[in-house]
Amino acid sequence: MDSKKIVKVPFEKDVVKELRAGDYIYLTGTLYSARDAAHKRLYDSILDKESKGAVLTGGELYEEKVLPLDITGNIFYYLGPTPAKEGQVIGSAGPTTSSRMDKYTPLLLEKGLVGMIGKGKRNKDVIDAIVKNGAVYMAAVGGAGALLSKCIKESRVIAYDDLGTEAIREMKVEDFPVVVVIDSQGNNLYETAVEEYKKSI
Amino acid sequence: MGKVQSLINEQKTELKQLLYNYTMTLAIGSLISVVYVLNDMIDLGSPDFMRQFYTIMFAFVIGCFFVETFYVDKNQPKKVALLSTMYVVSFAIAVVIDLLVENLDNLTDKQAYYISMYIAVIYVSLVCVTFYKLVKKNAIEMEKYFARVLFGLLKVWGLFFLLYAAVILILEIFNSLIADIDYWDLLSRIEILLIGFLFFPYSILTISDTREDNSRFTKGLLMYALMPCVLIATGIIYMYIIKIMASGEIPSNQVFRICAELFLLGGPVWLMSGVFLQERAEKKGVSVGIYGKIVNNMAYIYIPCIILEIICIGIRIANYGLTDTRYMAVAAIIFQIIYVAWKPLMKLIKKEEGYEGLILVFLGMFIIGTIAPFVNMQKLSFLSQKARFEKAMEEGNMTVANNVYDYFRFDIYGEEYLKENYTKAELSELKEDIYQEDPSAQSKDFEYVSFYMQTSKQDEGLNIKGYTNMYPFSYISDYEETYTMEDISEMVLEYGKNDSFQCNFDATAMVEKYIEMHQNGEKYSYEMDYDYYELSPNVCVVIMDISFDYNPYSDIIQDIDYSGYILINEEGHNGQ
Repeated sequence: MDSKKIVKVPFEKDVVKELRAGDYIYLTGTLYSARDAAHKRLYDSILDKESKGAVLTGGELYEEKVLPLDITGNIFYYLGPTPAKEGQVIGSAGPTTSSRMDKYTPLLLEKGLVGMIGKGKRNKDVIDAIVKNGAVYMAAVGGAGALLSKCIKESRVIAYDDLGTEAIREMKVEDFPVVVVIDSQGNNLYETAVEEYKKSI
Repeated sequence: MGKVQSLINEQKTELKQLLYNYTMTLAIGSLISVVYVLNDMIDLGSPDFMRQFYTIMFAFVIGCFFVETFYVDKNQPKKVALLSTMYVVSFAIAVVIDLLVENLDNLTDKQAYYISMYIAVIYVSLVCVTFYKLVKKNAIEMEKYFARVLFGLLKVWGLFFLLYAAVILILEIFNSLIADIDYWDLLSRIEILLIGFLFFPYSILTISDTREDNSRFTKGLLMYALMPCVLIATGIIYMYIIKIMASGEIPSNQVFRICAELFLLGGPVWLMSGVFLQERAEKKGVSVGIYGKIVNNMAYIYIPCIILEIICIGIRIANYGLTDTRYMAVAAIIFQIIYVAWKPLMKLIKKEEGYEGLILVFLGMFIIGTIAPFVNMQKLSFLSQKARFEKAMEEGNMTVANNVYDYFRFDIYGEEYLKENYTKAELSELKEDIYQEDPSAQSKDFEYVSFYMQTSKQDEGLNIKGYTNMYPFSYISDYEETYTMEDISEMVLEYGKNDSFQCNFDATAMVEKYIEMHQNGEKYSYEMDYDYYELSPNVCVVIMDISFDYNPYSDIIQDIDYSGYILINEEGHNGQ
């Protein structure tokens, strides 16, 4: 495993290329939460817009108010937090199973999304899109929602507030621990780790 | 020094008088701020108790303000018995209102709506009548009164922010030079105390006693900065009127909003400017001039805008019937007409009532619109839409019927009407007709059902007793893949290495359970428990996370995703 890294998010230039599957990193900066329903809305909005005209970039889609945020260079955390208790920024904030977002992810990566945080495997289409678009998939520890929520210093709903806990939130995080699972070259920790383990025994 | 001393003495006298006039109002205002700060430091009660406390106190403070405005006269001794009775009544009303608000969830939508409206009527009435009384008490025209209040409040805001900035500065210096403290909590508490002990009393003082005339700056700002802006905005609307008259086009939907905003923001400006221009001319012993005449006649200059609003709303009502929003628009137009006609009307009936009478007109219209039987906005809008719906059903115009149906689903009378007059099958049939006409309409009717568990919220772990193996699984449908209830009963779950194992899963009970929970209002529940479905003595499916779109009319499921674990005994693979 590579050494620990503290990484600013959104990623600075070329940082994504340097990340390798297996890197244990701490994110500091801005993340956006989005679960199934939010993904479906973003996806539907893009398809709806593009069925009527030219293909647009993430920035253009935001400028034309098709998307409620400019996803270019940003990272989605697959999260639907529990309600915050008094004095808390956010409730329990553990990741959800990423494969639920697989059907929407390639298009969002094409539109500029550069990173995702969730748990569990991704399908081949997503892995291909990660390589094609130079993105990265990271995993947060499932079941450690209460612990992860402590790394979230600010949180506010920025879109789709009718979705309740599944609304899109902008979150300021500090030293948020994740493991790089699929890097921009397509190395997949879920495969390489198993192989390495096999070799070691 | 003498000037400062006299200013302090003046302030002292004013505050003493304020304290005499509004003893209970100020006491309750301060109490709220102190309790808020204390509760922030030490828990004074459960969140529910504190919420009740604040609701009662906020309602009570409005009641006290009303009572003291009406029943305390600075020139006469207080009638203690009368005041005490009125305080008790106000407090009792506040408690009843809190109890009603707390129990709104236990009522039907219709009951909850009307109770909310009655509460709104009580407090809007208190506020309107109190302001009417204050204008009369101050014995000046309403226009002058509001100008004084408006700019007086701006001064109070300025003072408040200056003090707040000074406190920040002191804390910052202390933090840098003496000791490192996390002063944000302290600052927020000081802010609340400043509101309770400074901002609130001075605001009451400003509202209740407007002896101080407006400064030249205030008057100048109104007459020569804000008023020209209002004239420019009106000019643009005139140009638009000429444009649509020339082209013959229908006024844009936005026209009503623009004109109403102009009236709401511009009306007070031209009223206040008119008074000040008149005052200035009288002082100088000259006429108001062309500018003054224009300002004084703004109510009449505004008439074309009202006509435009009438055309705009009239077209919408003729085409799409009355709705709550359109009812409010009509009420706003009627109010504007009354405003324009007010002065000539008062002359006609030989009554010397200034524009403050409009406060009572507004209150009357508010009561009619919210709670008056047969003519309130909910009832009239429903009757109008009902007529459209029945006509559309008769003529087989499904697009209109569907539009009204969607309106009825969220309307207190409409919901009742549909339940009483149509069966679920009939409504599904109506929807089927719509879907045939416009297949994309189906997507609008999908409801998003989503439940998932948080492992950190579970008291007990996953019960795996009786099984030898546990496999995680995820069922992810393709984008917009649709399922009938029959498809749902024949689902196949894949699990194990490279999904080499399969088991058949009749997911009907699971889907029906979550649809019912969703329909019972348990939307976006986070604390779902482990959900066990025993398929055979050897196989059990445990759901931890589920989401899908559901169409209640066609019973179609779309985009269903769920995940969890399959608990199994070795012999249970594939064959179960």
